[in-house]
Amino acid sequence: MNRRLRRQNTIAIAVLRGMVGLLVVLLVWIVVQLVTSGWSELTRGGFYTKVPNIGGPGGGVGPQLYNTVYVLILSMLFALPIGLAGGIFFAEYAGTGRLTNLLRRASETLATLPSIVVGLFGYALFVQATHSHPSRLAAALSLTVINLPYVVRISEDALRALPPALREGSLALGATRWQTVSRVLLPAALPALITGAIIAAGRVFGEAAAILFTGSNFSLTAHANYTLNPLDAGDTLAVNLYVFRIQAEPNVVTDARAYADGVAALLVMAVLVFNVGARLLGRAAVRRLQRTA
Amino acid sequence: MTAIERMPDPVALSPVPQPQPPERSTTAVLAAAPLSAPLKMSVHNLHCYYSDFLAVRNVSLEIPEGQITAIIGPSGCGKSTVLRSINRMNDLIPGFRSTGSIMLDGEDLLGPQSDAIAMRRRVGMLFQRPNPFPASIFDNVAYGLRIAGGVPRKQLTEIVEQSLERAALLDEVKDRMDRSALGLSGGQQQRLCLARALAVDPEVILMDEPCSALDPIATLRIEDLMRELAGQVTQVIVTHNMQQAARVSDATAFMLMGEGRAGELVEISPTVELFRNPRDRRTEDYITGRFG
Repeated sequence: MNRRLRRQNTIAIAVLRGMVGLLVVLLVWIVVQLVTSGWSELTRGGFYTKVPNIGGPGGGVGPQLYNTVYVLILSMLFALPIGLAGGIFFAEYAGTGRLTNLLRRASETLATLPSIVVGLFGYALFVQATHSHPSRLAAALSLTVINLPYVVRISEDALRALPPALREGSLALGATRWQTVSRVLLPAALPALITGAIIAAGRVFGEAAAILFTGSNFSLTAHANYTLNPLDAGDTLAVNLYVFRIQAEPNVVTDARAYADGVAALLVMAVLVFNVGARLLGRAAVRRLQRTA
Repeated sequence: MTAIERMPDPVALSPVPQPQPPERSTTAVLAAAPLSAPLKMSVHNLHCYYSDFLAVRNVSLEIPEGQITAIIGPSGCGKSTVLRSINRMNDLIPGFRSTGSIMLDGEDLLGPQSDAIAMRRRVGMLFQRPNPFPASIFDNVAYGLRIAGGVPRKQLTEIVEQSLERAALLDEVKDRMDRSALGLSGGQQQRLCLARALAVDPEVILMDEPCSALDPIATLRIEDLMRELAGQVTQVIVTHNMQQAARVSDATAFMLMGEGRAGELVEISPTVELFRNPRDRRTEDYITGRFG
């Protein structure tokens, strides 16, 4: 290797390392900032269980946490089956026709829509057009629109990543396409599907714009709604963060800033847990599939 | 595994694995020769296309029942394409089409009424690389029976064990039937795939270079199994290994790339004849290593 090439190589490696380093520093800095400023809230007794205390300190985000999990589960109940079906269709049945391309393009376009647009669309469709009010159901449906293309993509990729020999092995034994998908391919793709589903759930967990108008009643007082009715309104953590930080008058919620810091820290931690948990669970599923001991 | 300890009533076993006499003498095989056995399958004027590319030109073959027919030839001569046309695995490839006919017991597999799914239960396949499903050893072998349905649990266990026995794998796996098949060695995996194919009691087994990913010892075990299965199952093996064809097969077909890189059949003869006394000059050149 001559000197010029060697120097080129050294510089390229240094630049790449620098970029990656910058990325890591940025991430760590943001997480540390958020967690340290929210730490006192995160560790305060009652923060996770109490209702917000209007006009005084010491409240919690119990209902918001409940609503977040509620809306998350509801929207995954819609997004997972529909998205999985779409992924199976694209990976196993669709072939390469013009219609397939059109459908695929549609799905990808849906994925690029800004979430605030989806939120307004959700408001028009799920709230106004149905002459109802913001609700957990409307919020979950809006989140489904956000997440569906992503779930389609991870399902399709998970199936395509499987060795073709599996498909052929099953078909060669006289299996139908559907038997091959349901009995061989889906179980084999399960680790990737689990990982993808959890990461998708993490996205839903932190989404605010799409449900600002569809799920929130913007009420800081009507909070103790640990109800099961999907037609009840319910602020999630991310929406609540916005409400506290932007809308609340300082004289109404005395420690709005502290609340907001706590909620922000909680959101970041939760999303981190989702991501790490997804990897761990996915890996565990692979091990289980290849269990030999 | 009490089912193994309790010897099942031999009369109740449906496909009884009769131990074949170790008849390895090639002249004896030749005497039994392809001419006398009834035809199981025949290929007539098969042309195969990948989109516009003609991959196989006008191949006709006769495959006698219970015998082993080998297809040899250099890479790209279309031998795998012919094999995979028989059980219509090529139908999965976009742009593939074929003309001609492939008869199985007098029924045209390429005909419009032919049911590929039903046919594949009669015509099994062993692939180049072992392809066990990421599931237990038991579930792998039981797969074909389960998808066909209607086999009671007790009988399922019996057939799985018989199939593993026929594939000479039972002794190695009988105390770990519920473990993942992916933990087996390559040779064991290929025998598992053979057991999986045998479990549905196929009339024909197609083998697409079944030993190319295996070491010599594992290869010999598969070849021994092929000889043991001869007489019970009709076998067609594609191999790039001439010695293998000479060792195991009763008849050998030689294919070569012809005009426009389309694969053509040069000759098909009883194996001993093809290797000792080839009719075609190109066959002689190939088996003596003068080109390729």
